[in-house]
Amino acid sequence: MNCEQCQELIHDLVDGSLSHLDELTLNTHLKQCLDCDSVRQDLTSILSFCQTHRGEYEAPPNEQALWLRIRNVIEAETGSHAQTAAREPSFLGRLMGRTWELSLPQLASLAAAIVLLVSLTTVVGLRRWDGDGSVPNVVPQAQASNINDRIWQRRQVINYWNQRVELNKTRWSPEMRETFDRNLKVIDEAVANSLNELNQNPHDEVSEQMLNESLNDKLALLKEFSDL
Amino acid sequence: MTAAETETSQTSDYELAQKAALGEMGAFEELYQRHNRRVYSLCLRMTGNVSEAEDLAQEVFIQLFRKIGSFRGESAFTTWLHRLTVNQVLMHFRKRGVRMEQTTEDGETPIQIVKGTENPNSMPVVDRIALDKAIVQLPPGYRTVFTLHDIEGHEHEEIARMLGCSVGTSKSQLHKARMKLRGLLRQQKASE
Ligand SMILES: [Zn+2]
Repeated sequence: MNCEQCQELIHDLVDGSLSHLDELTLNTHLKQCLDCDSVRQDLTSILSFCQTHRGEYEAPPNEQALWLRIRNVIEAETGSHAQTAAREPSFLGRLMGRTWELSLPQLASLAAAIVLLVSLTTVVGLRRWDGDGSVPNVVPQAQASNINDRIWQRRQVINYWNQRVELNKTRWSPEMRETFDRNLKVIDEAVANSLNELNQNPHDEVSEQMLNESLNDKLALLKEFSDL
Repeated sequence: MTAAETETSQTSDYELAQKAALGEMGAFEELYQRHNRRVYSLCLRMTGNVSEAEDLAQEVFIQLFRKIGSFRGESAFTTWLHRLTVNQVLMHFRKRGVRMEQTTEDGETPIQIVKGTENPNSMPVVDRIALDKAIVQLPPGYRTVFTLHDIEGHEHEEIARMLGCSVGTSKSQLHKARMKLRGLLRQQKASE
């Protein structure tokens, strides 16, 4: 046994996963080789330190301040949801009761949005996001178990907002269009990267999470610009 | 300890999670108090940077709040949160383009100590400070595998699943990480 082979086996030795026979061979080498024996001693002491102190955790520099930061973000988020929810009826209110106040382009976009919403609900289930032509599978968002279904559903929502943005785009200034396109490009690249990773490794949770975040970002961007 | 405190300490993580899912901030704060050190420490060990670790811990708890309704209690809450934390750090690495697999030798620390250059009797003193100092100097991929396996006690199969690599890669990264860490500890000792 040479030193390289020996040092490879030392890892299994300290992990307790070495066969009895290998252990005998290894010990013979260790008795003759001070360098390898020193590796064994060092790794043993590193590992025993780690094991002894497992479960000991360090506090963040300011636990309370960190909590306040977290709480602020959460409250801002839940607050904005409540706000959005409160704004939704007024959007409908505009449609139902105050249509006379709407300008012609506003009316047109509203009509288009409704058409899209209707077509969206019809389209759901006809096709999966990747267009593989398999049997449709209409599942409510919360119950969607298949990641493809979930992504497809998210994309339908995104499509809806995208169409709304497209209708407004004609009114935007060149600067605004540039800002929007720049942000969208970054997000779309992130989406493409995650999809690529997921294609290679369909069970990769990290890619799925990253894809989710990117789609959230895209939705937020579209929602923001759809009002402009 | 007051009666209220006793009550709180007896509430399970799962019960708190259910309350938090209904929007009870007090329950969520209790979960934060119970678990923030573990989350922060894991972020710190994986990134080796205090402010990055703080930002990541913040993001983990925000994600936790968003997802807490989906915790069904089949696994331990700590396991679930741990996975959430590891994923958050891995995402952070990927966004920064950090490679998890270290294929070439970087830095000057030799992985295998050349024969005759060391004094076998001078064992590196392993203590918290020395170890943390050495871990920080490891490349992110080594640091991650070492943290998950040797510090947190995960099996290679779990690590391979988390990192999306093979068990063999996880093992070889760990072996390289340990040897590099040993070199760093010895260097520290020599410069004392
Ligand atoms: Zn040897």
